Amino acid sequence: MSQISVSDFSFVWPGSNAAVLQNASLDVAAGERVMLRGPSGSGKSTLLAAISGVIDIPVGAVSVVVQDIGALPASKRDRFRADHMGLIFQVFNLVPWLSAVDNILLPCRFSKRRRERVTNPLDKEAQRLMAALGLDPDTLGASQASALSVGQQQRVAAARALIGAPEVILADEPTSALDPETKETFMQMLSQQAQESGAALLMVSHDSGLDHHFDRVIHITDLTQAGAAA
Amino acid sequence: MTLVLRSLWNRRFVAALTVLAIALSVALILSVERLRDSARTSFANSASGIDLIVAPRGNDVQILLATVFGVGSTGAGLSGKVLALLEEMPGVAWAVPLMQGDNHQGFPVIGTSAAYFKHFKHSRGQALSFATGGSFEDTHGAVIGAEVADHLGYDVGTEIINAHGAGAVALEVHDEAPFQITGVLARTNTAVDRMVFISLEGFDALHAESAPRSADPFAAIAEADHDSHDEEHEHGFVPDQINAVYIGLSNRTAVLGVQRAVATYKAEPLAAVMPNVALLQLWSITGTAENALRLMSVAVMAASMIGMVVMLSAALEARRREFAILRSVGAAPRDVVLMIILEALLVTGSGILLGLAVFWSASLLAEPLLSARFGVTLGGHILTSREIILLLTVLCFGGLASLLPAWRVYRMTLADGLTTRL
Repeated sequence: MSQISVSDFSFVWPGSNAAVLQNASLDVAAGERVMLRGPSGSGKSTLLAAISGVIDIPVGAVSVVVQDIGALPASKRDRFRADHMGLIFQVFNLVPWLSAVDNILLPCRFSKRRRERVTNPLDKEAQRLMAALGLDPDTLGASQASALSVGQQQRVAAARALIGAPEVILADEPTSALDPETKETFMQMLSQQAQESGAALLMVSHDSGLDHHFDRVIHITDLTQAGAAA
Repeated sequence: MTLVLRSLWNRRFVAALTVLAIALSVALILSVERLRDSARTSFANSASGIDLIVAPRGNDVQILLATVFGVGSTGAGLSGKVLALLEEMPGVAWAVPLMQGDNHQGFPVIGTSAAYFKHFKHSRGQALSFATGGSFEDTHGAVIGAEVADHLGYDVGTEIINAHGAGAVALEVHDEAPFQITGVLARTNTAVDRMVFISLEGFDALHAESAPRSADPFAAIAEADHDSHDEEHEHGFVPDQINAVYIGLSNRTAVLGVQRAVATYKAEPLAAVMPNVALLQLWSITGTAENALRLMSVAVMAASMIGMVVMLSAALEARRREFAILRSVGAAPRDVVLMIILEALLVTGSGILLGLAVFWSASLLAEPLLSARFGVTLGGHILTSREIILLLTVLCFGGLASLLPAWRVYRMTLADGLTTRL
């Protein structure tokens, strides 16, 4: 069963006359890890925005966990995102004045479903994820996010994306601010945790050195070709 | 909610300053309102039961202030025989003479008759009552108000010496004529608390003994004249000069007639003042100052509100990322807007609470001073419904003011989406 299903999706940003995406199609199955590659401005981030439900899209183009994103009103999309998706960005993923643990638990504040999917006590689960991602929960758990290094912040962000086991994890160049070694361990831990929770991982990156962490590597132009072929 | 608290805590310095600004303006507004109300009620309470005040012609307000509140003087005196004339006027139930011009350690000394304690009413018709002792019985007896007793530690039996003049500085001390306190009045929270009452004889005797009518030989002759005449009068002693007369009417409708009769009295220029009318005149004078004060406190409140909007708005740019992150974990733009409004309400609310605390502690501190100096009391009630409405209005304006930054946040989060550009 595919967790993310994009079919024949075209998008034009308001105020622009050139389409960023034209007839793109993509399927990501549960537990599958997919790397999406492409030059800047080729529509990778637009695709992520469409899947996460931040932009208005036509009905029937994108569905996540069999829910048609385009058919939901904006407020429902926010709720749906909180319930079913974990997001990791390039940098500055954390609310600076919250502790690492509080940052990890943020989705549980907004989503009852995510909260209920955590079987441990919430604090324990946050600490377990920190440990699984190579962060010492005892020393770092209570420290303010702004006091963490970039590498640590990204791992906290990953823990936040993973908590409550959402079906889909979207990552937008999460490793671009990390040095090569940190990159490697970060990816290792992220893909391992994603696999454990059974989430579909869709990640956008320029970095070809990370290909071996993924089941599939797709170039953005392949999407449109596949779409055109279908 | 906890997010809002944490976020504010993160900006605690600026937030605290904003809260402080709002607190001060709340305290200011409350104080101005409370002072104004208390001044009015305690002034209005001071002049109950008196229908007319007869004094040498002058400004109504000045006459009222001098007689009822012991502030300033009526200027010239009026002759003692006016008292008898007034008493005989139709419709007049009683007349109480007043002599003024001396003070005891800054408290005004009033020469009057014992009838004063019977007829003078305060606070919507309450009569004066004695906490200890009773009215003066002879020339050397004195009755003091509660504040005088408290402030100077006097009790029945204490001997006091009066000084000439109305100020706190004793220019000329009548130490040759001490008085003995015969009674202390119960507290009224009016100007009476700050007064020292002695008999007309006592008051007159002071001046007679010190410098009998100074350099005017005719006055001395006139005085001798009057003395012989007054001895036959039913009232016993009536001095030749008094400052004012309180009049109570048996029939309220007679008030205009008596007023006209007094005003047209040929031998002396007299005026009969209705206390309530004079009070209204006083309010119209002080009203301008009151309104200026209120306007100013409202302006201070507006300034502190703008300060809050500035605080919220200035932080928006820096918090763009924060909002984007919150959206990425599932917060709707509506949630973000609610956060801003909640922040504003929290800041305004704590400002109001702190302002109340400041106001209450300030009024506790100022209370003794105000009641001693002006007979104005602030306390008695914690908050009037009017004040509660005022505070709620402030809170509402706080919420309204936050709509501006909230609206900007709404547009910002919609435009930014989840993109976390720098």
